[in-house]
Amino acid sequence: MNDLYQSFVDKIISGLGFENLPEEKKKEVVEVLKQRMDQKILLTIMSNLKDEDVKELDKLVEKGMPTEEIVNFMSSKIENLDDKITEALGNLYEQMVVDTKAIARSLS
Amino acid sequence: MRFSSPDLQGPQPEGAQPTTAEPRIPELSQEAILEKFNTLKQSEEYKDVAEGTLWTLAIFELRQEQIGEALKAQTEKLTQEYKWQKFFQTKPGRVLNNVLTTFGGAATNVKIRSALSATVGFGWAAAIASGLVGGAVGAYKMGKEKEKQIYQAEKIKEELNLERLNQLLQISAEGEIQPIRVEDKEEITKAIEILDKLIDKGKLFGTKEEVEYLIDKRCGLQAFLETERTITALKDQEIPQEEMPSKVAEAFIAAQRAHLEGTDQIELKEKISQEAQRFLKEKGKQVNWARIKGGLIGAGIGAGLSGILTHFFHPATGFGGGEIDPDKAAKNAVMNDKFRAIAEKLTRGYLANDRTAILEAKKSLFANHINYDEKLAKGLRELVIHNKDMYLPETGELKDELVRAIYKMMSYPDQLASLAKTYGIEQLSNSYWIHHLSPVAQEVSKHWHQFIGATLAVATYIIAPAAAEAGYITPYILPRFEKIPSSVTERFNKWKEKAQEKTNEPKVEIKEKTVAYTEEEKDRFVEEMNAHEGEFIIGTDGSVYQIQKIESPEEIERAKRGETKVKKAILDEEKNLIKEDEWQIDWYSSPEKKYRIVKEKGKVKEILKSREVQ
Repeated sequence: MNDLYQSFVDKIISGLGFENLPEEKKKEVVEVLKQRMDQKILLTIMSNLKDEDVKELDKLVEKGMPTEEIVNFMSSKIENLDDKITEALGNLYEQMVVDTKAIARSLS
Repeated sequence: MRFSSPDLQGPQPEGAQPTTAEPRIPELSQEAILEKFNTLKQSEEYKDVAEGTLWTLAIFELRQEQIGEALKAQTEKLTQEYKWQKFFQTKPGRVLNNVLTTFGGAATNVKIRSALSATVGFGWAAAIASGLVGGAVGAYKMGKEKEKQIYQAEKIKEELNLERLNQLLQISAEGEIQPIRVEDKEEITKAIEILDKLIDKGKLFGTKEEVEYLIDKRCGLQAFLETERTITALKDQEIPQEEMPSKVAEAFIAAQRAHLEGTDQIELKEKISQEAQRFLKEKGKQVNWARIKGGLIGAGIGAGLSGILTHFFHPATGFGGGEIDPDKAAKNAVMNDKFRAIAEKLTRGYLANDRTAILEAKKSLFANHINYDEKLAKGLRELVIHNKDMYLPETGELKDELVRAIYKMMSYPDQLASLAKTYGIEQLSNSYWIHHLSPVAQEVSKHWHQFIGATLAVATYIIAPAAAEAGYITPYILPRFEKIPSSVTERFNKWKEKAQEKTNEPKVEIKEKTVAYTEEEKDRFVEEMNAHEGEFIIGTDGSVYQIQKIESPEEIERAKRGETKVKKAILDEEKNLIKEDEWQIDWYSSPEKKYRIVKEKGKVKEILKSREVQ
């Protein structure tokens, strides 16, 4: 599964024009990119959960419930979670493209 | 969180004005407000009140206390220093005082003195009243102003003057990030600090959108500053062209880190426990990605990520999606005409150097999000050339092995789902079958909750009472069903209404006419009804009448009053209209003067039967 995740990251990297970066720099970009993606997913989940659901989620995590169960819990609480994440990641990507272009233009 | 957003000002509340009022009473300290807020929050009385409201209440209570104290001090001061003493030192005052002391107790004395004070022109009561109202209004206004100044997100936007900040973010028309002047930079930094302070203390409230907007802007400002700093530093250097991507990446990283820092610090604070955050961050990808067994579709990030991602999360491949067995999928591909056609076009294209065939195949692949990139093209070409004996040039057909090999080569893990979906290769299991097994299963899966609700409701409202009546269950069970949520009842009622509507619909088309007559139209009534002679009216009570011709002057008079000359049909148990000659002449008048006229006897029967069904 990590391969798939990595594969998505790779696609963004190439979409932003960073595929030919020196390995070390690329690693940095990948790292920051993953963080932002993870955070975006996390924030999407969080901002769509009601306060009481967040508390329940906290409890589930504390109890060490299996990932599957937590996923089911979130899916049951957030309508169209996958669509929301899709949209959030799509927006993130678009934003990064715009920002990267602005940076490139500024430096060229 | 785009730092280059042109709309930094954000949504503006209607009629919003900048805050300009100066405090007239002492300011409330943030500590005092926080303390009051905590007290309110802990009290039973306010346990269900939203936090935003509690902040407002806290401010109000403190203001009330201030008003009370101010008034008390004022009254005492007035009593001590002003004119009661002076008045009672005057001759009429002394006389009055003596009288009051003689005829009334102290309390009465005070009351009368107060009442008299207005009469004799001292105006204390008026002064106090006016002070009270004025003070209260002033305090209220100030409270509101202060509240907005400190807390309201909408006001913060104005006070920070985000419009101006937007101007400071120097982005040229060409989209270049320009260096920011030092003083402007300070202004942006200050704005960030203000926002941080408010957000950090949890003192920012407003609508969800407003608060999120400010948080977003805070991160955007920070990211912009970081980017600008990096770019300015880089601009001072001579950057060789080959190093440019690295430099762009450097600025990109700086911007992303600024975003991360801002979001980490702000958005998640106190929203969720650290442990849960850690969990989600670690598992977050799995949360969503683990379900995407089909994988990613390679093509077209440039063509728009959203569209591609939609495929990631497609019901058949995303959440709740099933597994794809690559080997089985490849076998199925052999049997699949659509895929075979693509494979044939590609093979013909490579072997016969037919560019059009390659282009067509490529277009089909791209249209379905299959990434026909250079690597794949090279691999496919090699594959086909080395297996050209599997291609029959006369018919353009491919041997199954080659079709399978082409499918497998296209099936990067991240493309498998798309391939399966595109070519209808049905190897998805689990929920796939729920979605595709049958239209009924599909409907049920789509509306399962309504389905369960309706079933429950039917059980509650129809089966259970019926069973109770028939003695199969004892009635005491029934009240338990009353606890069923009203939403279920509503849903059931809607469902019932819909079902009823459906039942009411006649199975055959009936040509009918509804005629409404007003007073002005009644002269036309006779003529109209005579035109329907021999046709039928189904009365509001379900009776059936046959329209008769109106002839005599008396009948015309009666018809003009809105009545219709009819024969009332006599129906047997089967709802058949029995012999016409046994019908009796009658006069029919509907309350709304509306007549549902049915032309054919056969249709009347159908309507009656369908009504009976309900």
